[in-house]
Amino acid sequence: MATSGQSASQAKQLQFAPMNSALDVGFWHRLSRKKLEEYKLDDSPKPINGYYYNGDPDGLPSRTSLDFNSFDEPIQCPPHCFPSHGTLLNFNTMDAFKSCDKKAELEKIAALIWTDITSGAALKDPSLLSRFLLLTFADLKKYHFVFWFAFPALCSIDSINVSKTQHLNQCFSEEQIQSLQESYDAIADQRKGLAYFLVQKQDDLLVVFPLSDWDLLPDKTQVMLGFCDPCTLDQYPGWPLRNFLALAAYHWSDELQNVQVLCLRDRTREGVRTTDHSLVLDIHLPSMKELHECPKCVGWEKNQKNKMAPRKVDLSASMDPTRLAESSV
Amino acid sequence: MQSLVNSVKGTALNVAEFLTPVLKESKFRETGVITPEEFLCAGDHMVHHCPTWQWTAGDPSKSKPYLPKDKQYLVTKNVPCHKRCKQMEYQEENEAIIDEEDGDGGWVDTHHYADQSAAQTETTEMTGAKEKEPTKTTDADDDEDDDEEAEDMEAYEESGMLEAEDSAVLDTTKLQKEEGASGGDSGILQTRTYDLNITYDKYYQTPRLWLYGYDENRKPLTVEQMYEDISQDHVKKTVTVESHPNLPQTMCSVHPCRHADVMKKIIHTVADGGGELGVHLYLLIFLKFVQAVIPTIEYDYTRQFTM
Repeated sequence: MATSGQSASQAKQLQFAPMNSALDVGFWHRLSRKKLEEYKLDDSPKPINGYYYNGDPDGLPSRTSLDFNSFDEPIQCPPHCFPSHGTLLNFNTMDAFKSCDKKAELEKIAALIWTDITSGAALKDPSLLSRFLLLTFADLKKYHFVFWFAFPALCSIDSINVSKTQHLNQCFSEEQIQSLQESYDAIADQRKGLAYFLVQKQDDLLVVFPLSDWDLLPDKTQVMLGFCDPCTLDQYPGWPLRNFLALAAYHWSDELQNVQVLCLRDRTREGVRTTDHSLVLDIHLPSMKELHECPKCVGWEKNQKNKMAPRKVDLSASMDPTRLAESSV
Repeated sequence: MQSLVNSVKGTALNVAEFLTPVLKESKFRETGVITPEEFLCAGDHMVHHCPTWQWTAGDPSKSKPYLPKDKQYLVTKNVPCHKRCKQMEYQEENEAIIDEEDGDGGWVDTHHYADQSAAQTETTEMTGAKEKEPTKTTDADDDEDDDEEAEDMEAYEESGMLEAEDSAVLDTTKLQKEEGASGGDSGILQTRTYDLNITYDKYYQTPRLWLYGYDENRKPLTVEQMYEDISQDHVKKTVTVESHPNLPQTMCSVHPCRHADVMKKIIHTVADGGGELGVHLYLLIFLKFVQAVIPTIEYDYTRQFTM
């Protein structure tokens, strides 16, 4: 508890570290090709995909990566990574990019997430909670790309309060952590990219269950919510937790008013695996059971100047054939 | 001029690679080279022990027939690189290394005729120059100034988005300042990151390392900026910019021409000590010795293996 300095009486609002986009140069190559050969002037929404990872070294921001394979179906999610389902809106002109109703587009994705929560689809496939929206404009003559990401997160009606933040090894014994890792691995083996799960203490060991097993669990008030956390901050959980809490607040608020959340961070360096730095949060979760319409949604990524504006990347140096020819002579 | 020589040589090697038959029998012990099957085996071993490394497919149209479609090359992403190589190397040390050029594992000097003094001034210029000051070297890339670009985008700034009112969003920029003041280490570090790839080089019959870097804001680095993270006695000698075999783009690459010899030396050293080096350890050892080229890029290599 040395790291937290918070006691149960000092509950404060739970804050989430925002997600960041991480686009490979390969993504832009693929988009350019798609635009030229396939999309042409078609600017309707296209499915793409990204992924995030919960084993980054300290100090790196949470990020969703898109690369050369982001357009492939079925989703090619690398091992130990978690898929995020994206919607690409590639505009033909900068004016169209600018005039697009961004609020409405974000609300469309939010509605998808909300429908998947209320229908129970997200209980069967929790990866549906991780979604993003990507607006792009590709200037294929100059090899300039303008883009803007949103990682939609449903907001809780009242603020969610956290009363205690601890590291995993402050809450549980080495043996229990070992059992948690083994149990998670066993389940994640069958369901690739399992990003959200339930944890329960059974016979003094920690056992992991998929969300769809909720009804089978004894004493549901003792269930912990677990998710794979791309955040590396010592005190704060990452962005994917938000939609998961929305799901829990809608389905399980009777049992889980005060609940522990496991932010699973799983790192292997120099052949040694550790999850000790994972966070365990004690939170109070306001119910969303009575909510009949989609809650408000946030998630637009700020640009490098911390402004609500798109970003731009200039790839003329690595893509322009004339430039490449010049630089090689 | 030197780059012309390189590009001609590069093209010639592409032709040569096309003509070189795929190595079928293991010659690992005698020569230090490996077959694609051995590359696969060593890759599987590495992925198992260092989960930050992954097999990937790349561009299907560039798929190499001698490797499985989904295991074309190995990738590790977003590897932090906190400081520039030059900040690590003292000037005297630097000179000493240059003196020992020939003794240093015998890396081939691909820029042998490059003007030594010009290279020196370029080096000092870049050490002194901060990101924002445009250096002569980046002129060639005609990069727009960061600030200018950001202002450009601010014309498209939107207001009335809900984020501003949502108190559950953590402002990491504030956090950075707070943590910085108290000397804590839990903030988000502003750092460069690299993506590293290892491909199988059919011509040299060894693994080959590729790197591509991004700045603090995840903007691609220019070649000159990437050279700042490469040990100064390898820049432009063993590290060159070439077309990636599995992706439609160029990347920095560590030239593989000496890899087999270095490997052979290690095998013999181990054999002299009465041990036997399994080919599955090839990539773990490979990662260790390329670290000399990119000492500040903090990728994972497993230390715990027994020779």
